[in-house]
Amino acid sequence: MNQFVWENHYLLGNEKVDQQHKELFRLANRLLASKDIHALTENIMLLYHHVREHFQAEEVFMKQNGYPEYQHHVQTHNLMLEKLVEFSNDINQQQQLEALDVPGFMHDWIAHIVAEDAAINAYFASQQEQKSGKSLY
Amino acid sequence: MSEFIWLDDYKIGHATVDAQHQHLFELANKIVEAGSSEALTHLFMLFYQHVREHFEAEEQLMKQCRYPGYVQHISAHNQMLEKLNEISETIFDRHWQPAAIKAFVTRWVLVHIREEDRLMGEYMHTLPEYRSDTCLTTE
Repeated sequence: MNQFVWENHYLLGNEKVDQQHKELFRLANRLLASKDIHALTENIMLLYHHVREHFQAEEVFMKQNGYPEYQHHVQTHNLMLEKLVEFSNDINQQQQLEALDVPGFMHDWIAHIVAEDAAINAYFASQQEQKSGKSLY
Repeated sequence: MSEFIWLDDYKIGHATVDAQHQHLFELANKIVEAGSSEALTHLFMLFYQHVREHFEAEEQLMKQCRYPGYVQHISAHNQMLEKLNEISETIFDRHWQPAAIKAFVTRWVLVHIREEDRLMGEYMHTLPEYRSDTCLTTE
């Protein structure tokens, strides 16, 4: 049974981003299902790889479009990536899966999606509205 | 004996950047010495994270200093991150070769430090507000 369950209120309305978010849920569940250290090592690398790629895509978008909260958003990304690096260290130190706070990581990341990622959406949506408002006059 | 030896010649004259470069050398040495796939995975993730944060710090600095070579420099950073992505795939697929990290450090990192970072350092030194640990311009 999966521990992390996707819910529709995580959807941001951007197909690519929503797909990437869903994929990360799948990989987190895969990490939790790891049976031995070999699987743990592979799955943490896989999760890190996707989280990193996803964050990079978001950051390129924010930077290219002049998102004002870019720096702060990148800092939260870095904190989450550092958490994953800590997990990889724990795995290397032969810690058991239960000792890795994967639920804590997912909880923080879900909060990040519904607050900070949603804020990006809201910002650019209001920019669009303002632009189209101006064109009426 | 370490694979990658830090030389003072690599310093660009900015304390934070030089310290970060030196730290990346240390991490690269640990990677090539990794004894197990768990250690390799962890060290590589750590290395990638430090490279990422180092690039962010440099990009902030260049922006603050209004460095004219900013766009090209960022493009070089992005190319190196792509290169690291490729190497991480090989670690995941278990086709990892220590030669790949060696090539990355000698052909990419060292060349970038000695050419592009050096140019950035030279530019910062020309600024009247330049101090060796930061770059503050009056707004």
